[in-house]
Parts: sequence; C-alpha cells; structure tokens
Amino acid sequence: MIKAMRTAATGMSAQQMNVDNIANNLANVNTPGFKKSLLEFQDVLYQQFRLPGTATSVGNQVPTGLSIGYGTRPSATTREYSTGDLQQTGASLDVAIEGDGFFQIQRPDGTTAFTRDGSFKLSADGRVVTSDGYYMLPEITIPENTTSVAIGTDGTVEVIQAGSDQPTQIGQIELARFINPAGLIAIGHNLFVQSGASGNPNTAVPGLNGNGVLNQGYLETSNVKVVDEMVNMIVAQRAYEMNSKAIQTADDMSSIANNLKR
Amino acid sequence: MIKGMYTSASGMIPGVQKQELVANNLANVNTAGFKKDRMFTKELSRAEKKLVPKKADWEQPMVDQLYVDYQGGVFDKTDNPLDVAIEGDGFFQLQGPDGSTALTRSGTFAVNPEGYIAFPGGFLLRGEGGPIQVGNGKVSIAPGGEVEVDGSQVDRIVPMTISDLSKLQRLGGSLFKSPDGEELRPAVSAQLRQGYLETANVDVVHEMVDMIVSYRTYEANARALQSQDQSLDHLFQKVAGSGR
Repeated sequence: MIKAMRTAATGMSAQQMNVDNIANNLANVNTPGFKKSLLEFQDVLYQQFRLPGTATSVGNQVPTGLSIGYGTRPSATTREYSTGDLQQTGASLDVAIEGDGFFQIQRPDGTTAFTRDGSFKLSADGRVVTSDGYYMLPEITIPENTTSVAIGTDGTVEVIQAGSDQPTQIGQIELARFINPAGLIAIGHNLFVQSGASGNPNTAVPGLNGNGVLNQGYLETSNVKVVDEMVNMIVAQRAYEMNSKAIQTADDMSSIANNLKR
Repeated sequence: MIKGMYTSASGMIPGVQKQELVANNLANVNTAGFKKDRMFTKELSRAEKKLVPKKADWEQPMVDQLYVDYQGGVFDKTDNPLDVAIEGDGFFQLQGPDGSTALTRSGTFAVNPEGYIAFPGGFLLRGEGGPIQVGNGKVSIAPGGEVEVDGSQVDRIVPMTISDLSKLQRLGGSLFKSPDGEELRPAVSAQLRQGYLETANVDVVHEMVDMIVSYRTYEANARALQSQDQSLDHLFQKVAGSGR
C-alpha cells in the first residue's frame, strides 16, 4: 500500500521538476540566444516477483513474469539547439549566428565560456565585450576614431576610420562547435561552459566546418515556442493531479484496511 | 466462516497490487516510450477446491496475469534531431558499458564526447555495424533507418524485436532485456521518425477507472470481511448467552 504512495510521489516530484523547467523556458522567452531545454523521464526499478521463464512447481515455465514498477525519475534535461528567429535590431555590434556554433567569451577567471547571445557592446578601452563586460575571443579592439563597423558573414571585422574611405580589417570572429552541444553546462548569463560530455571545442571561422554564418544588426531570439510550453505545462499539471489522486486512493485503501478491526 | 474471511482478504490483495500498478503507470505518464502494465486477476481456484487448504495455497500470487501492453504511443514533435520514435513494432538495440544488450522504445539520444549516438546511462545505440559514430556532423535519420552524416550514409538503425514480447523483462531506466538465448530479429513493420518522441501509451481515463474499480473492489471485500466478522461476533454472543 505504502508502495503505491511512494510510486505516485515520484510522479509528483518529477512533474514538479517538469514545471520548474517549463517555467525557466517561459521566463527566458525574450532572452536572446536562449536555448530551451526539455526534461526527459525514465521508469525506475521494477520489483521482480517472478521472472518470465522460471519453472513452476509442475514443471512448466511461467509465460509472463510478475513485476511492479517503482515510479519515474527525470533522466536528462536535453537542451535543444535549434536556431531561434533572427530579429533585426540595427545595432552594429548585434550579431546573430545563422546555423551552428558559439561565440567564445573569456570569463574573468581566464576560462572560456560559449554563448549564442550576440548582443555585444564596447568596453571603455574599445574592446568588444558581452553585456556583462566579458571579452570576446579572439579579442577585437575597435580603434578610437572609427565611424562605422562592418562584420561580414564570414566573421571578418572591418572598420572605417575618420578621414579615410577605405575599410581596414581589424579582426576575425571565430566560432566554436561541439560534438555534443547538449552536454554543455549552462552557467547563467547566457553562457555555457564545456564539460566532459560536450567534448572539446573545434574553432573555425563562420561558414566553415559546419559553422553558421554571421548576421550583423540582428539578434537571435530564444527558440522557446510559447504554445508548446503551454501545452507541456497543462500536461505536467494534469499528470501531477492524477498522481495526487493515486496517493489519495492508496491512502483511502490503507484507511479501509486499518478499519477492518473494529 | 473463517474460510470466507480468507476469501475476502484474498480479494483485497489484488486491489492493492492493482493500485500499485496504476500508480506506476500514472507516474510514467510523461516518460518517453513507456509501456503500461496491465493485469488480470486470477481466480483463486486451487485453494478454493480443497477442503482443508494449506497456508501455502493461500499464499499463491493472485495477480498472475500481469503483462506489459506494447501498444504504440502517439508521437510528440520535439525538433531535436537526436529524438527518434519508432512507428510500428521493434525496439532500439543498445549496447551497455559492459557489452550487454538492452532494448528500448525511448528514443532520447544524444551524441557522446567520442561522437557515438548514446542513450542516458552510458548505453550506445547499435546500428547494423555496431555502435554508430557520427562525429560532429549533421545527423539525419531516414524512415528506413539509414543514418546520414552531412549527407553520406554511415550506418543503418534496424529496430529489433523477439518472437514473444511477453518474455521481455523490464530493467527500469526505460530498458527491456530479452531472455538469454532468445534470438533478436529485425522488426517487420518499423519506420523511424526523426525529431519525434513516442509518448507513454498510458491512457489516463482508463487508469482512473481502474483506480476507482480496484478501490471499490477492495472496499467491498473489506465490507464482506467485516460482516463475516460481525456474524461471528453474533454467534459467539449467542453461544455464550445460551450457555449462561
């Protein structure tokens, strides 16, 4: 009896985690470069009362086994790296990646993080930084007397300086790709860091080695689809409700058993 | 009289197990590729027929007919290129870290750091030529199972099945194990759908009805047990009264 209650409780806590995940997706519906994640579930251990194929007392084999499961568990949050819609902003340092790849960012501790959020800014010393002030790698410094910045689809950064009408190339943006981007660890601030599961980054210029191309003046919106999330939320809520009913029923049955003795 | 009480009690036990089964089905209503458990309650004939049943007769499991319903679920579009659903029968064949073979309907795959298509828990998806290595290219999977990386075919996924599905053993973690010595054979009518997951085949209305029925059966048997207990009580009082 208690088993059914615990089983249903695993269902409730799994759905709770599911709603947590959906809430995070919805909260980031306007975050540029945000990638939605999907919570996946697995069933857990089965108590085997009798294995299929074991011999019965009269020498036959039982055709089917007897096993009862112990509920569910969240197995993975899979981050989905499909490209979001590109939104025109017109800002010269807003860059969207159309296709695969990540911008490389230097964190204050010297390690490299990766992002799809291309809303870059300038630091006081003219370097290209993220909204948090982290440098883009390879570092790109925009000269002081620049009148306009042009970022090509292949990542070349050219500037036109005051008093000149010829563009000068001052840098080259490189993108990183991973064998298993789903294995990257999200650390907040739109940043990801590599893990044992993601593999090492392969860097290349945009448009080569499977990397996407860059679009200056655009931002990649999050790939969260609100309708999908809403549907998932309803499903999760109903599943939560049903599992609570299973607990209630199990409890009522315990109560009946308890009242057998007058 | 006492025997009737045992009968009522044995009618309660399947209610408990049914409830445990329903709870597990409901807990897994969102588990990809989950197959629900069903059960029939076996008639308690063996012990009933005996005039003097032994304790062992009463202890026979009464929920004999418990089986996994392998009916397909519906397909849920996820757009993740490594989510694959099998339309029709058959299972994905997985290779465990220790070389063992497991089967699953849950197509929630990812590429591991070595570039193989992997299943949570360290399992690798097997194609015709063993584990499938795709590197960091773009993976596309055709309905016939052909795995292409950047346009060139690297392997083929063949959903496998066994002749008698009821012999499969559940391992948990969405895995099934085929019995030792049982030959796996390719599934006849299987098509793969990339970017989809198969949902659990749990029908919630059915489960709710089952829950109510098992609850009421349990309750009715409990009532029957209680009224027999009351009759006994009357009897004892009468006997005790007449003796006085």
